[in-house]
Amino acid sequence: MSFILVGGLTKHYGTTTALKGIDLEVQEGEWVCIMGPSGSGKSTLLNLIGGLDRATGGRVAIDGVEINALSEDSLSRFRREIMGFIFQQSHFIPYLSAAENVMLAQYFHSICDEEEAREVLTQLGLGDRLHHRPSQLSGGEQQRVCIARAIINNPKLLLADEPTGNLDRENTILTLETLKELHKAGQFTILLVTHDPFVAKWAQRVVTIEDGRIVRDELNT
Amino acid sequence: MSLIPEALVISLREGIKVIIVTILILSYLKEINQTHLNKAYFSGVIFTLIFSIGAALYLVIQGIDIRSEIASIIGLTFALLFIGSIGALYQYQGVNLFGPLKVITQFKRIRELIVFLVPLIMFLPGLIGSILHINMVSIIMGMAAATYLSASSGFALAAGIGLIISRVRWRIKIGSFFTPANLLLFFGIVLLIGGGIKGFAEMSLIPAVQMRVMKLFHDLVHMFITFLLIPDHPLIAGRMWNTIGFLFSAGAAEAFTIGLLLLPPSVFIYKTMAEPLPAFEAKTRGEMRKYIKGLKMERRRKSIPAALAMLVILLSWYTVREEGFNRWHNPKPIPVAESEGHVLIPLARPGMDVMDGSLHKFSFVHGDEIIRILVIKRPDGTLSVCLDACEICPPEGYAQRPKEGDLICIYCKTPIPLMTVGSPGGCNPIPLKALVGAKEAMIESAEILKKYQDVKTGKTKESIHKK
Repeated sequence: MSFILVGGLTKHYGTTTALKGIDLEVQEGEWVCIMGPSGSGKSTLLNLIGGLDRATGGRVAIDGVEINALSEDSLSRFRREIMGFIFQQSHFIPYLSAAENVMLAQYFHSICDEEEAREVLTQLGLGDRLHHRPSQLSGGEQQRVCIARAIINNPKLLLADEPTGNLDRENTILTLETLKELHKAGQFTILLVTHDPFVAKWAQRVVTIEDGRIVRDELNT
Repeated sequence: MSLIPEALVISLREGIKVIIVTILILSYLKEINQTHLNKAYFSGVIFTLIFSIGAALYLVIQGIDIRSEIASIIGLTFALLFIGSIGALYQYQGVNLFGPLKVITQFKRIRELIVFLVPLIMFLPGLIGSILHINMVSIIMGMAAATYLSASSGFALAAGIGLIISRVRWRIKIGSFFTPANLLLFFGIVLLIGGGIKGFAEMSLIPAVQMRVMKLFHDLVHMFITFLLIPDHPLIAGRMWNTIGFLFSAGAAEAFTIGLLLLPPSVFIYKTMAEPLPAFEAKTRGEMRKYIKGLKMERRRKSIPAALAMLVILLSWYTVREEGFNRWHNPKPIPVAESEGHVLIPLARPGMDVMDGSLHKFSFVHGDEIIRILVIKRPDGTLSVCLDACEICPPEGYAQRPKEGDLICIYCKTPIPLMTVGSPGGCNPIPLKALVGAKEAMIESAEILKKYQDVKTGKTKESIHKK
């Protein structure tokens, strides 16, 4: 059974149709990149798969759970336990340190474990930045803290929306290499949205969306 | 409070007790998937109702009043539930207190019997006592129909409340907060708050517990210090009573009582929260954290009834802490004058008759001192005239317990039977020689002053040690 199963997914915003019947299957442990130009519906698709938004029609099943059928509370719990999110913007709490921002994700999942947060940040090369506030970190470092925050609760699914959109090439490579290592070690599924073909190269499979429809679905060689 | 509304309050209170216990039991049985035991519980409730009405009717017909004994049974039940909850806590946490007998709790019939007994233990004494009291109220009022109608209204009101509650769809799973241990603890609290058999005045057992604690300390002090350990020690004679008296002062008794009552729930919370985490094999650290969180949440949830019990005890204590003493009859002394070496106590005045069986107090001023004298009719019809002080305690004096009719030392809470009032020694008030005439009782001032000085200077206490 597919880990992510999307069938006939549609989404309307008023008179605008963002998704026009998406069918997609992703296997557990895959790294899938969703590509497309701005306004093609790729972020909408990610939001619907992540349960951040409700679909107008169609179905989304993750790990066998139909998320459209879940109540708000159950959906929050499901998201908390199954998924990790990385966005283009870091959405940090500015007055908390890097370690504390990671611990915040632990707190909402279960309980805080500072030692574990330190270990993960150190593993991502931020051992000397644990007590720095977000404003004291570079863009690349901030994005690595975002990754730490996303993976700290051992999610089965990592959803990333333009995670390197704000980074220069050097930091983009560093971030993607980090994700690659974690993906190799962590056995989680990655669904990454980007408009940058360079970023898409890191994925195992690239799904291209245009005008709310999948126009291409190909494996990276 | 008028007696007829009191009948309503009593029956309403009994009904609310039934509702609370029923909610707790049924929720718990649902939580542990033992709803088949509901039938045993309701059988117990019906049996208890029928038996209590039958027993009360029999007692009324036979003219037997066992309300005091019932109050003692309720107090004992409360104590057993409190102590039992600690035992159940250890049992629940893996310390097998039952030994090989534990296996019998696995039998369906035994479980049914235990659940059947819950209403008997929780409601039977209270219901019998309440019916007896309501019957007494109907006799006092001479309005049996109105009194019983009032009592029935209370039950009907409680039944209505129960019906409304049963229709409510609870979002909170009440049963998930309970284990057998904190269920017992909570049942104890229900008895503590609603264990009295009278109206509002006896809603709580706290004054009774406090009284017993005070008496216990008082007796211990007497037993150990006076008779066993240091009967003639030169350093501890005489004024030592004023030093150790704090042990059976009202404040100390309050503190001990509250400490005693808060002990089981405190132990409960401590044991529940501080229990080492059981081993758990988690695939990831996130899973382990989640497991720990779940366990902690579970423990917090199971501690809530104990915390609530503590809150109820403290609130109940706060609201009734003076009640026990305020209920005693302690009349304001009527000033009398000293004349020609004598103090004259009037035997009757408009609205006052010293032969009415109630405690009467008089006072006269000597120098800077106000000396109190108590006068009371004994069961044999004679009049006792005494100093309002005893040989042992500081001269706090005595009050009369309206229910029992006897005197009680305000300082150490020792009850004094009326037959011994007027006899010298021990905890009795110090008797005064009085010449009782038709209108007055005459006492020599010199005798009053000498005996009062002995009390004040501690001479009476020294004499105890020389005995």
